[in-house]
Amino acid sequence: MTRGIRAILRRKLSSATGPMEVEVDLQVGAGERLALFGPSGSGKSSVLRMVAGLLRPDEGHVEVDGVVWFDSAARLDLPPHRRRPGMVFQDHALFPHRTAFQNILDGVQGPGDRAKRAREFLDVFELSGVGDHPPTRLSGGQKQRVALARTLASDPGILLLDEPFSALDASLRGRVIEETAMHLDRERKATILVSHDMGEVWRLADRVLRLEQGQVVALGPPDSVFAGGTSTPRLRIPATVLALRESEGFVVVTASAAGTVVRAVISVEEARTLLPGTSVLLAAKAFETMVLPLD
Amino acid sequence: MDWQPLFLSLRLAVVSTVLLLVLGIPLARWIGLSVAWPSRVVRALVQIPMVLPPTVVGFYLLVVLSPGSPFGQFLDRVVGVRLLFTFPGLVVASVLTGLPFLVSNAVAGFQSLPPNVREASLCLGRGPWITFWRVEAPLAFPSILAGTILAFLHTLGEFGVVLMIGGKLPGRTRTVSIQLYDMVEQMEFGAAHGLALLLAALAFSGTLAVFALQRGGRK
Repeated sequence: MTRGIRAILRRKLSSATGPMEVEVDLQVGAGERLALFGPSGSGKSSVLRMVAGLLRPDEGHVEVDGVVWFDSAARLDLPPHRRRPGMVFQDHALFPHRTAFQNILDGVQGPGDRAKRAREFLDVFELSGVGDHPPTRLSGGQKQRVALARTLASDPGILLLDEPFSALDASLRGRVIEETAMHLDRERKATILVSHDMGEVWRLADRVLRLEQGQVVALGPPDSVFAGGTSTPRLRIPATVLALRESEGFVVVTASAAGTVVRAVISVEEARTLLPGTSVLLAAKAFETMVLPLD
Repeated sequence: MDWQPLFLSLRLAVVSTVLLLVLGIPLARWIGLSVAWPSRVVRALVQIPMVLPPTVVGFYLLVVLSPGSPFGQFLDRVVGVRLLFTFPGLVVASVLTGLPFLVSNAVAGFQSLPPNVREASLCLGRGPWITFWRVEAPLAFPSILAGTILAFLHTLGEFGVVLMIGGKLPGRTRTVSIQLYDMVEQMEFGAAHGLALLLAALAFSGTLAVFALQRGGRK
């Protein structure tokens, strides 16, 4: 029996730019975290929904921990509630008529003291103070925690995270990603993370599958996929360029990385491909900071 | 004053509303969540009695249910029910004419479910049935209740269809709106005023409740 996720999927979709065929063959080992990375409309979420059973592939095979979830040839298609795929939705999809505590309770599986289990999750996710709040009274970060706690409470075999941080303010994001990383490290389930944010992928994923127009264009560890395999033991931090200022033949780059603002001086040549908003990699070079464009 | 027609109307409205809920909610859910064309055709069919003159609906029911028609014969010989000029007949007609009021509201309720909550429930391992009771029905409840109130009030006041297929047999098919008509014909204006005011007050308070529910549902 192979542990983890094995998915071979093919499906025609109509995208904003016309018909598109999603064709993916992926494998996620037990405890491994794979990121599906790509621009919006590249088919990332569709792949996730096909694994979850929310979207039917035209053809393919999905197997999790040796159990076949979908097989077009065998006409086998388990419904989502039989797969229990550990899905965390982009908009959190909290039940609006239930409190934070009840949302988590709705996830708790099996016999035994379900309320006790739910309270434990509430504690671990530092939500005890807002347990009786409805989702409308929770902050973005709290909603995200409730969503993750609810999913983990359902004790899924795998985790499928669909852009779980995109609904959050930039100011909150870094912290929530760190918290999530901590919870995911504790659980260590085979996980597929859909994202178009490099920082998020870098922090959370062991491997990246880069998707464009429904097709796999790259697969490997984050630094080889994003930085062209020029990996070194040096410190490297993914960052986003905030501003560029030219002064006396040099360019001062201001970039934000993991909640801090970093300033680096680079040559005009090096700065040519950069614009505010460009994703870059900051690396330590002797006593200076190097700025390497990503993509 | 003769209270029998009012009680008959109330009994009719209660029985029809219960049947409407049993029939209308699954129908509304299917129409609300289906994207296929048959659901649109069914929705149009359900909606027709709302825009047709009640006498037209009554006339077709008369044709279909009469003992001379194949369906009427089937009901009479196989099932053993007669629907013309009987209370069960009024119930069938009321369900038909009340359905659009319930269904149009309930469909709106099911369609306004936040995206993904249904899928989130399924992904937590709760099957479609539990998901319906725990997520869909509670969230659509204000709309379902609003539709139920409207259907109830409509049945209470239905006149045309009831007259066409029920006649006005005292104690069996003579409902309160027909009683009012009779009062006016016999120039008992005092009694007519009282009865009309009662029905208007019921309709007003019911409609008020519906608007309150719709506000609450949007918050």
